[in-house]
This record gives sequence, C-alpha cells and structure tokens, in this order.
Amino acid sequence: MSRSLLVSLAAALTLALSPSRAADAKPADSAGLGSTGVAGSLPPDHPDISAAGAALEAALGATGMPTGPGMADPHGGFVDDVPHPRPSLLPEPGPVPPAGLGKVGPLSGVAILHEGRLKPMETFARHMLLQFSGRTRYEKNNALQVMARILFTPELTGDYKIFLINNPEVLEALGVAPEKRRKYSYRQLEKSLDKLQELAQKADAVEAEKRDLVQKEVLRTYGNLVVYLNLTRTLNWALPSPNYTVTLPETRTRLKLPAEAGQVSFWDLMSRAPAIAKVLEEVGDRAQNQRSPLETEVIGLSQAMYMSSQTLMASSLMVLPSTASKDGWISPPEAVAVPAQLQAFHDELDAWHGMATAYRKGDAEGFAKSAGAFKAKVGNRAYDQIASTHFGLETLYQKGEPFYWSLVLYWLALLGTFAFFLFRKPWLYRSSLFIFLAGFGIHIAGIVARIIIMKRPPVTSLYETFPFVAAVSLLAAMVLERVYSRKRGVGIGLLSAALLGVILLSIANRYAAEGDTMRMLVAVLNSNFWLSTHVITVTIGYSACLLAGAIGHVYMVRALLPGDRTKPERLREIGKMIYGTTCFGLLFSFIGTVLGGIWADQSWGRFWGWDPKENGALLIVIWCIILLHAKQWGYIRDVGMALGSVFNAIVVAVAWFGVNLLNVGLHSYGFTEGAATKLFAFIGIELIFMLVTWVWWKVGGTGPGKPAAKVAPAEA
Amino acid sequence: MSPAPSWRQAAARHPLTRLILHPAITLVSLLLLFALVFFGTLYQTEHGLWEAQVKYFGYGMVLVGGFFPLPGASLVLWVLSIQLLVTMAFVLPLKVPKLGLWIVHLSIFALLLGGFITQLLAVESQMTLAEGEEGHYTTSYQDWELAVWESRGDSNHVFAYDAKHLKAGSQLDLTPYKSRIKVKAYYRNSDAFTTQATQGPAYVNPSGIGTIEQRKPDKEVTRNSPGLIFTLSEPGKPDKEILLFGMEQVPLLLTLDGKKVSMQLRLKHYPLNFSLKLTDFIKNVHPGTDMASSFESYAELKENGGSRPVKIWMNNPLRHEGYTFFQASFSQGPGFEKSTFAVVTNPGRLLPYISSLLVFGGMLLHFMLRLIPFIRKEAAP
Repeated sequence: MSRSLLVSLAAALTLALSPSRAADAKPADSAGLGSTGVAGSLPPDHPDISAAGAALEAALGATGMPTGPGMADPHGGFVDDVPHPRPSLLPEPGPVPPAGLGKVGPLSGVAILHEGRLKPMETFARHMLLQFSGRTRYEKNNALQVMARILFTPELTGDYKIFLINNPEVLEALGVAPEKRRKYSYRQLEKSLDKLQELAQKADAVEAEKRDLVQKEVLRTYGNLVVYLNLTRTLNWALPSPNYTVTLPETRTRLKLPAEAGQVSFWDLMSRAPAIAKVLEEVGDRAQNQRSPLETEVIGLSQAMYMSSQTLMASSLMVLPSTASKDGWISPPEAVAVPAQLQAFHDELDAWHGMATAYRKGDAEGFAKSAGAFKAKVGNRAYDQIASTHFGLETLYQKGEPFYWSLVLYWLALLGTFAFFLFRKPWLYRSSLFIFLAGFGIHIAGIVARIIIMKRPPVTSLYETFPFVAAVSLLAAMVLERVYSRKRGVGIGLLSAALLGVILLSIANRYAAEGDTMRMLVAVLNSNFWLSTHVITVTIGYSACLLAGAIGHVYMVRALLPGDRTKPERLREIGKMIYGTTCFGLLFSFIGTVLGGIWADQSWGRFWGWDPKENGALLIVIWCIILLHAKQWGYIRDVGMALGSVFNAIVVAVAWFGVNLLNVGLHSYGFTEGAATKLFAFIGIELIFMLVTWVWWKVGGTGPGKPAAKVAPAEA
Repeated sequence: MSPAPSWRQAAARHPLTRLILHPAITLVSLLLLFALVFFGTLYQTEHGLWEAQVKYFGYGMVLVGGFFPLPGASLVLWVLSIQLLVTMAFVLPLKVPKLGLWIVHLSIFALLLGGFITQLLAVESQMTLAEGEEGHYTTSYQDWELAVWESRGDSNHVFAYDAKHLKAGSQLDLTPYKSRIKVKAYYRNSDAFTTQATQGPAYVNPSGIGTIEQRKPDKEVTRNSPGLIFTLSEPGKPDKEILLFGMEQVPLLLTLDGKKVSMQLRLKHYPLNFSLKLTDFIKNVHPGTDMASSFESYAELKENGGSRPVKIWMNNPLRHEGYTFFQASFSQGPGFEKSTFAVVTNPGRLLPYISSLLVFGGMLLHFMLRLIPFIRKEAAP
C-alpha cells in the first residue's frame, strides 16, 4: 500500500466512521477515529494500582460489558437488563485452531524498550516469564516461544500454568484450589479477577513498607495478570477476530479479501478502508431496511472497527522508535490508534501483521521474512540507538546462563576436592582444579559480558554483588592455593574457593529468579566513577572476609578430624592464611567504607550519616581490627582467629544484605524480599558451628596452642 | 652496654602509661563500639536517626534493650583517641619498619579529629528555590527560632531567638521595642486546632489557630512542628496572649513601640553573603519510565554586584566561600518547578579525605613490609 493511499485511507475512515454515518453504532459523545487517544495507560510490570486498574478497566470495557452503573454503553442499544456473567477477557479459541510455530528465533533480536533500556526480545521474554512464573521455561517451551504464543495466539495460552502464587492465603481469598506446583493458569484465576482487583486496591492503599506478605503477593499476582492481559491484547488489531467475520462471498469479492477468509483482522480491513468507505458512501442516508446484505455486512464491519479503534491500549511491547521524541518508543496499538503514527509506522505494523499471520499458519519462512523486514526497518530508523547495543552478546548471555553453569562446575569441583581429601589421589586434585578453573572462566566471562552490555561497573545492584564478590574471593583463594600448594596447604584454597563459589552463586541464582537483573539505575547511583571505586573496593573487602570465614571453617574441621603427625604444621599454615586474608579484608573494607563516605560527602554533603549500610561496613572494619589486635597481643591464637573469622562471615552477611532488611536509610534500594529467614538461619547455623567446634576442640581437639600439639611435631 | 633509656622509653614504662594503654581497654572499647554501632542501627529503625545519634553515638550512657547499660560511642571514641595519642607519643618505635603503623595510627587520629570537628562545627541546612526565585539565606532542617523583624526600606532588621531558649517560664527582652516576652509553653511537636480553648484567654494568632496540643516528637525530627504560647508585655498597654505554630505561612503583624513588627516561629535562617537565583531545573528520566536518571539545577551566583552561571547536579555540588550546595531534592507541579539544595559548611571537611587516604597508604605499606619477607620465606625451597 502506498503512502498517499494511506493518507486517503485514514481520512476516508475518519469520515466513514464519523458520528453521522455510524450513529447507531457508538455513543453520541465520542469523537471520530482521528482524535482517538489510547485507552487506558501502560500497565506497569510492578503493580501500580491506579495505572493497572485503568488498564484493566479499559480491558473490561473492550469486552463490551458495562463496568459500572451509569457507564456509557459501548454497544449502544444491545444491552438488556439481564446481568451477564463477565465474558472472558481472553479471546476464545476459534473453530479452526491456529497451527502455531516453534521456530521463533527470528523474534529474538527484535529491539524493545523496557524499563528504560533497549533490550532484545529474548531478554524481555525471559524477564516476563520469570516475573510470572519464577522460571525461564514453561514445559517444553522456552521463554521466547511462550512470549510468541501470548502475542500471536493469545487464545491458546489461557490454560498455561504460568502464574506462580506462593502464598496459600491468597489462593484461599480468591477461592482457587491450591496446586502442587503453586502455578496457575489465567483461566483458573479469571473467575476471581474481581475479587483480586478488590484485594489489590486494598493492598495498594497500604504504604509499601507496611504491606504484609499476603498483600505483596496479591499485588504481584494482580500486576502479573494485568501485564499478561495487556500482552495478549497487544496484537489484537493484527489477529483474525470473530468480530470481523465475513459471511457473504460478494463482500469478500468487493473488499478483495481472500476467498477462503472467514474471520479477518482489523488490519486486513484497515488496508481496505477506501473500498469500505466507498460502500458507506453509496449507502448514504438510506434507511436500514433499504440496504443490501452486502451493505449491512460492511456497515457491521465498520462499526466493529470503530469499536476496536476505541479500545486500543498502550502495551509494554514498545518496539517502535517514536518519531515524536528522541528516545521514546511506542507499542504497536499506540501507533495503530493515531493516524499520523499509523502512517509513519505502516511498514513496521504490516511486518507485525505478517509475523502474526505466518505464526498462526505455522509458516516458519514467512515468519522469518516478516521479522527480518521489521528488524531492518527499525534498524534504519533507530540506527544510533541500535548501534550502541550488544544484542548478540546479550542474547548469548541470556541463553548461555553463565552463572548457572559455573555453579554446576563449582559443585563438581567441591565434590572432587572432598574426594581428594578423603583418598589423597593427585588426579582427583588435578581434575577438581581443572573443573574449578573452567567454571571460573565462565563466571568471569559472565561478569565481563554484563559490563559490556550495561556499560557500567558490575556491582550496581544487590544481585550483581553476588557474582562479583564470588569472583574476587575465588581469585584470592586461588592465589592462596598457589602460594600454599607448594607446602602443606595443598587443596585448602581450592576447597574454600569451591565452597564459596557454590554458596554465593546459589544465592545469585535465587535472586535472578526475581526478575530482570539488568535494570537501570536511580539518579544517585548513575555515576560510574564513585560506583566503580566505592562499591568495588567494599565488595572486595566483603570477599576477603568471607574467604577468611570459609578458611576458618576448614581450619576448625581440620583441627577436629583425626589427622597425621604433620597436622599441627598444616594447621599453622591455614592459620597464616586466615591472618593474611583478614588483613587484606580490613584494608579493602576500610578503604571501601571511606570511599563511600567521600561519595556521600560529594552527593549529600556529609561524610558519615550513620546509615545502616555505612554502619554495616563499619562493623566489618571494627571486627577486623579487633581480630588483628587480639591476635597481635596474644589474646587469641589460631583457633581464636579461625572462630573469629567465621563470625566475620556473619558480620559480612549482616552488613551486605541484613541491613537491607531493615528497610531504612539511603541504601534500601536493594531491599530483599523474604530473605530474613534465610539470613537468621545462616547466623544460627554459623553460631552453632562456632560453639560446637570450639567446645569439641577444648575437650579433645588438637592444634597449635593445645598441649597435644606440642608433642606431635617433636619428630619434625 | 645498652644506652640509657630515652624519655620516651621511660614514659612508656611508667605505670600510668601501661594502665592507659592496657590492651584489654582497647579491645573492650572496640567491642563496645561494635555493639553500639550494631544496636544503634537497630534502634534507628524504630526511633529514627536523630534519636539514635543522640542516644547511641553521644556521650551519655545508653540502656541497650532498655536494661543493658553501655557508654555512648563518643565517649568510647575519646578513650580510643587518648590511647592512640599516648601510643604515638611514647610507645610506637621510631623505626622504618614501623612507618606504616605510624601513618595508620596518626591518620586514624586525624580521622577521629575530623569527626569531632564535624560534630562540633558543621552546619547543615537547606535552600528551596522555585524557578526564577533568588535565595539570600539557607534554612535549618530541624532547629527553630522565634524571629521578630521590622521592615526598613528594602531590608529587614531581624532579631531571632533560638528555640533552645524557649522554655515555659523563660523571659526574653525585646529591648528595641521596650517589650518583654514571657513563655508560657513551648512544644517541640504539636498539633494546631481552630477551636478556641474553653478556659483561659483567647490567643492572638495570624492564621486563626485557637489551641495547640503537645505531640510526641516524631521519629523523623524534620517532621516536627513546634508550638509556642507566650505573653507579650508592653509598658502602658494590656498584655497580649500570643500563640504561634511552626507550620504557619504568615507572620503575626503587631505594632510595638509605635513600629510595625512581624513575628514568626520558623525554621532557623542562616544568612549568606551572596545569593543564588534558580534559572532552570531539569529532571531527566530513563526513556519510557518515571525513573529519574539525573537532576540538574541551573542557577546564577550573585555576589558584590556581579554574577556567574552555575550548574548543580547529582554528585557535582557547588562549592563557594566554605559553603557547599548539593542537589538534594525537587518538587514539580502544574506551572512550577522547585529545586532543593542541601547546604553544608564544615571546616573539618577535608580531614577525612586526607586521613583515609593516608590510612590506606599506611596499611598497604605495613602489610607489604610484612608480606614481602613472608613470601620470600614461603617461596624458598
């Protein structure tokens, strides 16, 4: 379709659907298509009830149901007084189910603006599915396949159990029977949508910090459903609909629709607007009973089109670089709703229509062609923006899940090192070391990929600190391994490294399940220099103290296990490792804390504000000073150092994310949901470990400082 | 034959020095500090930063959990500072291998000193300007004053009484106006009502407030709104019962000694020798979201008849004549944009910078001096 034709099309449709022509189809106070805004507002991923409510209201309006007393009735004249059950907000499957398509790879690199960042569709799809279900797959489908289903064949996704609801009280309130896997389909929840909305409104009225778990879960579930519904409607205009059922062959001929077409789409008719306008013109002011069947059908179709045009909602699928502002992007329905945008984005919209049609036919080739055409078009239009992205790398990062695979390898290395300590076979040590290093390589590659993709230091959120701290402490552990493996400490560094790697990356992977880990930063953090210096040094401090803690565990276990005659010397070596690592930890914790103070002085004008996070870092510094001085002055020996550094690991955990649980202060951006129990469990276990090993050692253990130890090395 | 001990060595062996420097005192002090920071942080979540600072980081005793007494953090820090001083004066050997330790301990002392100077002398205030507005003074966050002023031509002559002096029963002389104020009640936090008190005299008030009631001071000290009731006596005239409330926008207008005088209970003002005029405030967001990516204020700095444009934005404050202006906050509404700056004067500002760099350097030096021989030994076959 040519440009000039489009202009006349928009004008024709505006004219054709103006109130005088379609008076029996629409409320008298509505304006024509030309001034149609976008109904509802963008539903947020994180529930903002007013916006979400508006979106849902708009969605309810779109079904033609009166949403409240005195509402203008969108179907004018068709409503009776009989109360209806609410029809589904999701399209019902038609008589001929769409074929669907498995090969949706070409969609992967489509650019989308989401949460302030331009990202590939691959990331968006994963983020959405994670947000809904806590997983990046659904049954045999990957996230991109699920996203394609939701967009192109929404009617088939109603039974997908993709909504995770953890809290049984929420289910009870909604009257939904609990499922074993805690996942529910839209159709299961739809019956309780009114109730859910009511609960969400109540929960939203409560201040964010004061909401209880149930309220948070209600808001999360509600937000997810709104986002899902919104996504299912994004391409409504491109999908065949029962509203546009063409029954008469002569209508098909007149509008040049394919002969086999039963249901067509808004877009199909839109591109035939001049023909429709012509028919409407011919009808003129003729009364209803004087119209031909063709004319009646075409008027019906134009009325349906008008209705649809009124319910186009903005969607989170912002894939069109807006011509209106420099870095604003809009979603397809927004473009369809405004003639000027429709004209500007005609080719892109046509490509989406092409993708939808091909997808529903199961035509992989056609799908790839349309997706390619779309990407090429956007690539030209938003050249600067696309050029500064790294979609290839990001897709690889998302699909490759580097931190998951390094976790797997660290587990293997940990088991191998245990086996080495049991059987003392050099090949076990070598293969564990090799596996560990392979995992470490992947781990580092993941961090580097994030730096390149986000163009910022890899420590901007609580999540990101886990892989980073893990990397630093593992590196330090490997240095220790290198230094001590020549002597009697072989394997100690490796064991500590694998242990820390497993723990820290497990936590990181748990966090990753909470959603997108590549978010944009709030203004005060948007400063690369301070971010890099303060956060990196302070997390290096964390790393060293954690490593000292890990070695402390190894020391205590070794001190209690029955050992050979060289054991006291080995223990002394481990003691030196703890001492050195604590010194290192003090150095970096201190400088990191002070750099934080300097950053605060630069940003807020005070060096120290007794903010919980600052205090947490200070606690680490004080504890390290206590340990080093107590050791220096002979108040504690190696065992004291070992136990003290285990306690240091608790201090680090409290400073690192414990203070985030307090939910006050300037650092509360990293608030962690439901982590309190795990933190208390960790503290409890560590305290018990300290107590048990200390008592045991007092009673019967060996090691430097114990009389037994002094006897053993006599031979050496 | 060993040389005679120097005065330093003699002093170091003195029983008093030994007592002061007893390692147990250091360790206990450090442990106390650890506990205070930990419990102070917990306390802060319940009672707000201001109270936590006063209680845990001050000089007095604090009852942790309501029963366990600990000395305040400032006291503990003084003990540690004295130990540091004595250590450096008499004990720490004047030898090259101890250079790192010297630097560390000296600069930690400087750090503590910086903290002390800040605690004593730093003034934090703020300035909120609408676009086009010019500010000649900054305003305290939480300290209040009773201001009495008289307009003479284009300037105001202001007398301000710090609210610290306002206590029930206290008297203030308004000498220039030959009058006297006798405070009947001052509440740090209060609520105001338009209803008149059923008993006692009707109060004079510019905004129609009839009574105030005392409230518990808020967790956030900046949320307090004080209330003041006093009797104003002027010779030859009947006494006036006056009520002033912190949230009032308009001052009370009076005629005293034949002069037109304004009176207001307001957040303390700090006059500046220069002025700042906000020309433009810009908030940038990440595309497609409400999330701010930066805040920027463009202003004119006016002084001695001249002016220059300045830009204040996140992490990039304006420093001028000992004052530092930080982009702190903003408000937007239909037709207006306001920008709020945090304003700080702190003579000890540079000490933490210098001392912490030195601590880092010193620690690095010390650990290196110990690590190198250690690694040599370890690496030896």
